[in-house]
Amino acid sequence: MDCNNIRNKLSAYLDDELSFRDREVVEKHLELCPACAREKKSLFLLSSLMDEIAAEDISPFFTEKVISSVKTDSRQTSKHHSLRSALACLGIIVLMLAGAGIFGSHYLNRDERDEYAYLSNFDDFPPDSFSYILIPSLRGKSR
Amino acid sequence: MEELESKIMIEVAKGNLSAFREIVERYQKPLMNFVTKFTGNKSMPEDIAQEVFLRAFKAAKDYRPRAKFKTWLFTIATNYCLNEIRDSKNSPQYIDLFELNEAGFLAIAPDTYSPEKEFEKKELGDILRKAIANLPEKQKIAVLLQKYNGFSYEEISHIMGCSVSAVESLIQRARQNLKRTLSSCL
Ligand SMILES: [Zn+2]
Repeated sequence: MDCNNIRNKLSAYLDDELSFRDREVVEKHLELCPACAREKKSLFLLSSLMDEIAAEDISPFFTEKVISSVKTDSRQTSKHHSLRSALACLGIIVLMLAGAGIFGSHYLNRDERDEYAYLSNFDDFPPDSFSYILIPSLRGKSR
Repeated sequence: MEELESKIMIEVAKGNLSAFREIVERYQKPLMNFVTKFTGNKSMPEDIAQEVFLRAFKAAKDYRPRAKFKTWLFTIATNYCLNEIRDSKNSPQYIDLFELNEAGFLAIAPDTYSPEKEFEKKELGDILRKAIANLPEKQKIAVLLQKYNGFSYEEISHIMGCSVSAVESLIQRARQNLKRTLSSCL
């Protein structure tokens, strides 16, 4: 192996990740090549400097923060579930109302339909109805 | 230990919060170490670590004891770091050369204690943190998993979904880059 090949193996050598055979080859080369030995030394220094910055601070409340985020998340998830069931109920109600509407339009006889026709218009209130009496402007309206 | 963790994870999968608390307490240090060095403390490392734990909690049902728990957790962390943190810091940041030269006066070879030396060491440590945070993402992940979390090259290859020789090359290139950045000190 030439110097380039050896240098590409130096990290694995320092991390003890080489096969026994490769390890021997690298060690033999390092004994004979001062340039590669210097390279190994500087990688080793880098590695010990990296060891020095190992620890990081963690707030003493970190565990509690995580646990409460899990609780909040599962509450939100169950809220989603109940919202979904509420929507499903609403859907059923809407379908039932629509069904009733279809029922009404099909099965009420013509006279009954005419009798309730004014209800389809929000502005119309039957004379003498509560709204008709209470909202004077309605009375002025020509019917 | 691994068998114990599998048992704990079965409980976590059922939603047992005190079992989950145990997982958080066991793994917060290594995870924070990884996340803080990955972000270079620019984003909020605790928030990121919290999100990783939350994802682990939600995915607990998918955990299979044949994978080492720590490998599984760091796979979640790695995916999160690669796919979601990347976007927030896409502008590369460079080491201030003046800062580096200032720190270049010191030698880090072990020596007798002196307050000056401790101060210089701390400064050099800060520069190294920045240099790590500025590494290309895959190099950074590989070197952090190896150096600070004790994973073997093979385990890292599982976490990152690449070959062992790719991991070897990532770590070698990462160290070359760090050495180049710190060249005046090493
Ligand atoms: Zn050589």
